[in-house]
Parts: sequence; C-alpha cells; structure tokens
Amino acid sequence: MRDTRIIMGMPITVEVIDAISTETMARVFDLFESVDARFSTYRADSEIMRFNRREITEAHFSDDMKEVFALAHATADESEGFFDVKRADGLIDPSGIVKGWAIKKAAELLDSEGCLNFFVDAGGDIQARGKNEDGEDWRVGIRSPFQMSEIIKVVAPRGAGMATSGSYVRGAHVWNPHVPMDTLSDILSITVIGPDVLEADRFATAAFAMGADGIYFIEGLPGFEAYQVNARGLATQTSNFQDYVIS
Amino acid sequence: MKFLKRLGLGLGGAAALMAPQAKAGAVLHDGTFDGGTYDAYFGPVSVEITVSGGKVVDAQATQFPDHRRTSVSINRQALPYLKQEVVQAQSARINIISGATLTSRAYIRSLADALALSAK
Repeated sequence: MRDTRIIMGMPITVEVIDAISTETMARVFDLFESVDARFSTYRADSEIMRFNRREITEAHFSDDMKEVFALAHATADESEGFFDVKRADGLIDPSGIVKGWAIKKAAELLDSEGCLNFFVDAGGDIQARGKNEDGEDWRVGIRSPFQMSEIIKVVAPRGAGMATSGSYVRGAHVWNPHVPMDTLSDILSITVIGPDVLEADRFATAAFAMGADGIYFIEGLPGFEAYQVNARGLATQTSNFQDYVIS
Repeated sequence: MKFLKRLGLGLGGAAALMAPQAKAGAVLHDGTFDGGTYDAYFGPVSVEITVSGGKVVDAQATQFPDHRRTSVSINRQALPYLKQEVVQAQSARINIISGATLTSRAYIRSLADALALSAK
C-alpha cells in the first residue's frame, strides 16, 4: 500500500510492501498531522508558537517538545553551534530536527505493527527498511540541485536513514555573471546517510550550515557518510559513501 | 537567472497547492509582484515574479540565505583526501528521491504569495 499526503508543507509518502490495514496507514499520517499541530510555526495555536509568545514555559512542555528540545540542544553541542533552534528573526523553531524525528516515529509505528518492508519519505528525508516490491534493496535517487527532474546518484541505504539539506535557490549563482566566481564553490546540497533518519537529518542540517567544511565534519562522524555537491557541479564524498552506491 | 526562471515555472503546480487563493486558471495581471519573506531555516527567502501578457515570465529570489559562520574547527590534516567527481545524470531505476526541501519550501510559499497578488 502506498499513499502520499501534503502535511507540514511537504509531500509525505509511505509505502508498505507487507499487508497493512488502511487504519494503520491512517495512523502514520495522523502522527505527522499531530507533529505539525504541535511544532508548526505557521500555526498560531501550536505549542511552539505558544512558547514563543511566552504563554507557556519549558516547565509546561509536552513530552514530545521536551524530547525535541533535548535533541536540538545535543545537536547544537555536537556541531559546535552550527545547529541552532533560534532563527534570524528571534523565533525559537526546532523544525530543522522535527522532520527527521517525526519520520523516525512513523517508522517505529510501522515496526510495532510488524511491518518489515517499507519506507517513509517526508520531503526527501527517508527511512527505509527491508526490501522493495521486487525483493531488492530500496533504491534512493539523490536529486540534482541544478535540475529538479534529474537524479545524480542512486544509493541503497539498506536500513540506514537518509536526509538531504540544501538550497536550490543558491544555484542561481551559477548562471549569474554579476556574482563573483568564488561563490561557485558554494555548497548546494549535502546528502547524509546515518544510523537512522533522525541522526541523518540533524547532522545534514548542521553540515549544510558549515558550507564546504560540512563534508569533513561528516567524515569525522563514525557511522555517517555523505555526498556534497557544490555550485560548480563537483561532488565530494566521504571515504565509505561508495559502499551505498548503486550507480 | 535562467535557473530561477525554470525553477519558478516548474514549481507552479506546487505553488498552486499551497495558495488556494491563487486558483488554477486565474487571470494574472501584468506587473512585478513580491512574495512574502519566509524562513528557510538558514535564513529568509523571498521571491519576486514578473507577469507579462498574463504569464509568469520571470521568478527571481530577491532574498536568499547566505548563512556563514566564521569557522568550524576541523583538523583537515587528520582527514584523508576525499574523492571528488563531476555530477552526472543517472538513469537507473529508483523507488524514492532524496532532495532538499527546506529552502524550496520557503521559496514555494513566497512564490505562491506573489502569484496570489498577481491574480488579485
């Protein structure tokens, strides 16, 4: 069974190869809806916006909010402050970590229902388990930051989590003669494969914020691999990324 | 700005999804319209569209993240040389696509705003 919904402002696709009830499938999407209701900075009544308006304090946090904040603080420490829940406009927004966290919870829900072969994809961040309908490893394409319809790498994460952080907008520099040449070394995207999607997501976010140094940061993290693309169309990969590559 | 133009037009469907007020088939008025500024996590994104003859002829990001902090203490001496390659389009079969959404999400919202304004 496969279904796609737009939640949290992005397409979320769940495909389960095993037999699964429509009710279980609905619970997976309900989970994303409830995460959106709690963490969305676009909803005035969300817990995060009530916290931002100081209607509630950390003492009132739900267990989910406490968990996400703890993860955000840990990620900030582990990335020397490159991961930051405070936005330029002063708003506290942990959304850089919420997506991976929600996907991980959705995958755990499917695990608990006995599903062995599935993937959950929220806006390009992925947790896949088991095999696809042809009995092969799930095959994930890394989208080109230059051309949205193009795939530049095909990998099999084999149970690991995968997340891409990047900016397609910045790609404009490539064609802009008025922008100095050095911007061509700018990083357009970094795809991280890690122990699970939450780990991949939080370190992809931090690594992207580091610019060209991001790939070295991931190289230094045990259990993580990455593929980084710069504005010249040159990709740099960590030492063992090749182990995941199909083509 | 060839890339932005293509991206903007390509995302038209997604923009329509996110901006019910900009209905499909709505008449777009000629002119230049600024979308709102949205947080793309690494910084603000805002989009400006140009409509001519009722069609979007250009979409430009007037503001985009340029987030850079001073440095990160990475000891490159201790790291091996990392393999590099020129990116190439792949035609192999795939089940799922991984790509960035953070900035593009903010981009779509701003683009949707600009489209809605031009349809008013």
